[in-house]
Amino acid sequence: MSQVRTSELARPGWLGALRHPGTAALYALLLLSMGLALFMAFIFAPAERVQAEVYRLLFVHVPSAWLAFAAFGVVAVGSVMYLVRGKSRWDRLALASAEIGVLFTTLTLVTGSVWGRSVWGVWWQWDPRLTTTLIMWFIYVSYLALRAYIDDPNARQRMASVLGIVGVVSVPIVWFSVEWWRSLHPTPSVTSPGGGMPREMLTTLMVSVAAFTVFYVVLLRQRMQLELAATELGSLRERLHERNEESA
Amino acid sequence: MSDLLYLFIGFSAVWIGIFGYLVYVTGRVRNVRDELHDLRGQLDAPQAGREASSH
Amino acid sequence: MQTTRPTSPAIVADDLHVRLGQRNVLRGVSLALAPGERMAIVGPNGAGKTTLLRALAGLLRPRRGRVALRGSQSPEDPDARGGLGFLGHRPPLYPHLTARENLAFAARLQGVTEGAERIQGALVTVGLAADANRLVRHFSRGMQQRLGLALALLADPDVVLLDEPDASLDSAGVDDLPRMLDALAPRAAVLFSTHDERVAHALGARIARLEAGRLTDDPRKTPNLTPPTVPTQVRPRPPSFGRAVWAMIAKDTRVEWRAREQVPTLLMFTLLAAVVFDMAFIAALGSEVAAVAVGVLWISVLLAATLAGTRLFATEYERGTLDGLLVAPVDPSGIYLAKFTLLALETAFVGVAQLVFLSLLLNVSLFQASTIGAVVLAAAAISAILALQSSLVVSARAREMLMPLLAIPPAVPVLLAGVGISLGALEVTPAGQQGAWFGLLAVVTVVFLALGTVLYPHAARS
Repeated sequence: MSQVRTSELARPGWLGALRHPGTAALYALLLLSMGLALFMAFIFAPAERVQAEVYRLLFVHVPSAWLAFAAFGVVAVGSVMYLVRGKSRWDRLALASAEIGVLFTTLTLVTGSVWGRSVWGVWWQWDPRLTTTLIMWFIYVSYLALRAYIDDPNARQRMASVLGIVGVVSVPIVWFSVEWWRSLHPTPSVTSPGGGMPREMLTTLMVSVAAFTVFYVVLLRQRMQLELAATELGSLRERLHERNEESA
Repeated sequence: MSDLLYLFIGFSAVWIGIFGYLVYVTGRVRNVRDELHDLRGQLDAPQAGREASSH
Repeated sequence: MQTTRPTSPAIVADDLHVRLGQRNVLRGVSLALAPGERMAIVGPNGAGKTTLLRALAGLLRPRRGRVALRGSQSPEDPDARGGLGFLGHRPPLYPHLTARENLAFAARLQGVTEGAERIQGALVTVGLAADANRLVRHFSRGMQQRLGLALALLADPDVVLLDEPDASLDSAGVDDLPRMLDALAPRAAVLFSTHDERVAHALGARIARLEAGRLTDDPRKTPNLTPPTVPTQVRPRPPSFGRAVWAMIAKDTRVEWRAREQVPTLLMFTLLAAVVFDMAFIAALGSEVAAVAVGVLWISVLLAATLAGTRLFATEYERGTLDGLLVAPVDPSGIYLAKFTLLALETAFVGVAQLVFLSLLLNVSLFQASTIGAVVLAAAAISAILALQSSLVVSARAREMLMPLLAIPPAVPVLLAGVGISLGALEVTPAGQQGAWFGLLAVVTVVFLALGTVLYPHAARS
């Protein structure tokens, strides 16, 4: 069974965690990169010719989408490793990453919808990329639902791992949907050669992606620690229960 | 002008989403650890033969 | 063909640790049985007797430690299970099959040659010869236990694991136990749990006490190896993968034929959907009737598959028969493939029936080669997805609610393809994309069949 280091189990205040040098550095990096990304998104990057200001949503929309893809990739890796190795640590990674992936997919859908209202005049279109993204969102929501409805931890981890591997099939489908079908969604101007995106915008986008990645790491770490602590709590309750039975 | 309104809505949604999640998870980590701390205390305190519990 | 090496132990457990949920149920159990030896595990409720037997049968994966059956093989190896007879706390019987049919199915899964004679012999030995052709659902609990014993001992196993074999037997049955074992599994190493030490003595078993997940004395210390008494034995070869899958499909089809639990209900469901939509829309519709018919068709195919899919593994799980399939010497992916075939057949049947209903009620020409092909292929694609997901929800709460949530999102491409083909067939949209849609259905089927075959074994064993 995995042990929690006792130093981490001391009662920390809200800022107590920052006493840990690694954590403090991570949070400092987070604030710095977020600040920089915001500054660049609003001031450094020039206004766009056609869409004027609303195009700046790109700097949150694209990083959320990419991080969601990455998060679901991590879910698949964690799931495979759990089935191979059987260590709960890998399942915790998959769970944490799935939850954050759903969060980022939600934000992608919301920002995309807001942008669509401004540019297309509608909140939603049954466009291939929007549709496939929505399906991907449902698949990972159902992953979280499956976990919530299986009480036995062992079965929960195995069943979720299987679903975590199956679900990742949706990621390439969302990615390539704009190429496989006719789509209203702007084409990937970052990955295609020539691109057509001015350098300032591209730089800003990359800084935003970096900032979101730091955010992903912070969230992942925190969520995994929560799961570890919750598991520890469960087994401690069980031990207390066993001891009470013995003494009775 | 409504252009800027949509920009504002979009960015706020992202910040509220991410920070809200971070605050929520951090808060729960804290609660769970508090409870762990209490249970540890319960497990250790009335134990007559302490060496039995610390395998 | 394999022969047992008489000197190697038949059952070995080495420092077994098993955790169920948050509980450490087994905390370091070690034991060894020589071929032909018998051992009784006694202990209070909750001591871990059932868990120990399930871990030895390969139904639970230990967190630490090792199990070896018949020399050196792990019970997760299908070949090792070829010589294993297992009876859990609940006999793995299909209530809608007769006693003889239950045994015949087990014989096919175990690869027992000359099954009919062996089955008759087993029925006579356990005292059920007169009831051989009665449905098991009319059996009393004690008769089911006798049949369960016959099932576990059918293939002349050399390793037998029995969880309270004396449970629910009358006193005559308990007295008969030694004779049954001697007759059906004379050479086997037998490990069983019981509350009654008299049973252990009657069976000539040495007694090991299990308390709070530990054996109170270490039975490894007295490995009663008595080599020359055990003759070398020729094992029946396990059935080929294809034969085992076929046996499971045939069994499921026969159960459905007898019980009529799925297909008639699904047929009524689709007919009702067609009637309701016909009543609701027929007056208001002109040329759009074709689109409505297509919509009703695919909604009913998806919902029928979801309803049937929810029960696909759940019924086996709840009756305890899934354990019977898992201890058979067959790779577990065969179970997935058999269940996939059953679901695909049921869904295709219901879908084709709906084509007829809709053609008659809505007066559209849906009953064509291309739409029939689309229904059959889409049934395969949806079933490949749902058979895997059905295995994931067996131990979940609220599985009827959960299943549609799991099933519908990945089935969307299948629906799109089906709708595309049917609209083309009705000339609502220009034909010509049919080929691409059929291609999509084939790709989905192949991808999910591959995923299911690889991943189901991980979902099956805890």
